[in-house]
Amino acid sequence: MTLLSRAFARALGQIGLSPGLHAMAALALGLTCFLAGAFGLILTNLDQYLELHKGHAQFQIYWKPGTGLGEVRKQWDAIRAVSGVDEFVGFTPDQALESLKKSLGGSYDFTWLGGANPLPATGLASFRVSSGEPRPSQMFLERLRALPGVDAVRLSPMQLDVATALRSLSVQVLIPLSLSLSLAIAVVAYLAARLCLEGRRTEVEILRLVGAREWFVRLPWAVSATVTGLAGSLAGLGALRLTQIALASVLYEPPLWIKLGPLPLEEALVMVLMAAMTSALGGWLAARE
Amino acid sequence: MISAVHLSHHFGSHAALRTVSFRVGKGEFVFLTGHSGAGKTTLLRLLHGDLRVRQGKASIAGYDLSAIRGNQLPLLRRDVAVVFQDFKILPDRTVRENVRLPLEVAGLSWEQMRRRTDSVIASLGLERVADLVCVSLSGGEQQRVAIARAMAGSPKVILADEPTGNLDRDMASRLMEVFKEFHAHGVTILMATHNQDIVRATPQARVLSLEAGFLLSDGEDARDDTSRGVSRIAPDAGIIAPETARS
Repeated sequence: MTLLSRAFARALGQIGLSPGLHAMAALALGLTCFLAGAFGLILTNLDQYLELHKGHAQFQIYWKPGTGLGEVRKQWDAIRAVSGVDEFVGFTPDQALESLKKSLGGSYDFTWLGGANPLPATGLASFRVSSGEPRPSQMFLERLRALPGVDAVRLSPMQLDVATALRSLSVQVLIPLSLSLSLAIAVVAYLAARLCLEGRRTEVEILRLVGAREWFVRLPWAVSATVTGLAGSLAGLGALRLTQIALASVLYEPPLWIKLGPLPLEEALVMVLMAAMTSALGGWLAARE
Repeated sequence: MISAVHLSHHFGSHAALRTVSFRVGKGEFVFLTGHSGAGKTTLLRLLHGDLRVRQGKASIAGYDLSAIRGNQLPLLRRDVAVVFQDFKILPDRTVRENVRLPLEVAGLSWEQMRRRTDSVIASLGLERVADLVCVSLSGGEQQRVAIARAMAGSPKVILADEPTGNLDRDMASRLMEVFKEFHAHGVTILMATHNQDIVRATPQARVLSLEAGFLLSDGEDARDDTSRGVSRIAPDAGIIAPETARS
């Protein structure tokens, strides 16, 4: 216990003896964590955006002008009941005209139509698309087209492709990218620990000369590297949080309306833990004979 | 206390030490002399466990260096202290911190460490500079700190590699007095040097002479051989000196 407490005291003493070197190592690690965190932040926000939009295809349905509204409303209810339809919004010809009026500034006068509304009844169905399974959406499309009174159903084939492709984006891109960033943090943490030790290699040599056991020689380096890793990663992520707060208000303005959320706490914790653990490992390995 | 039997060591194809055999008894003061590259440092490094014994046999303070395990080395180094020409002290630590290092790693209590450190510092006349960082000390003082550190752990053997090499004549002779005093307290000392003045001024010491990795001579002959570089003993024969200590 005495030796263990001495090893810890020696670790803190090492930081005190070369604060500049440890500060530089922490800075290097902090910058890496900041950059890795920034990537993580972008990816997380992108993932959240995709989560909102991915996996859905929107079908625009147009009924023939003059189709009875009673019939149309029955079909709307039938469409809402179809498995896979998450949302359906219907527009009667009058609602469509009102919507058109609003989009034209609200003051446009349609009295010249003389009550003969030329607009058809329309509907917008949001259909859930599963990755690699285009068949249900195809069947839904055919079903819509077969409805009596339906004039046309519009769906961009590219939209369907994008919807199916985006679903797997997070798995195919986010995980490898996260692993690469983790590796970058690990490498920088290890190199920072080695850098700190290089300046004090004589001390390691002397400790061995006077009969210190291997763990007593190496533990202080692992501990001081852990402290440096923790300080660096926390500082880096703190700076990232401040940057995110500053950017969030700037980006959520017209015409961008981009919502920039913070890095999730779990991801931040993983990053800090990883920086601390790889620093510890780096310190331990760097002090080997 | 120290024995070597047909001890050899190679660095690649270069033979640094060739079939060296000798024995040093408990409490002996032995000089290891020879020109640069004679194998003195290699022999000391082998005896301190810094280099592994692969050819021949060697033992020191009860440790068989031919079969020593890695986890036994710290224990060996607590019994066998070493002093270098370049001091190998921590320049940014105080004298007191340097001297107590072997006690700290051995797990002594703070009170035990304080008593032992004060005692060794006093015996080497370092009280005045005890709380100064070593970088501010003179070469002679730094070497005394290195010796104090070696003595702090109460070792059975001290291996010294040219401990006076960086010091002027006056400082060198004062340091030799320190070594002699420790020797008088029963510590076995094996000191590598090519300083003939020191060897002559220490008539009670035994002298082993190395040349090109061979042990040339032992005893009074070696005092002369070192200066002349003459081989009086066939290299392959090796030398087994008496176990008894000389004084």
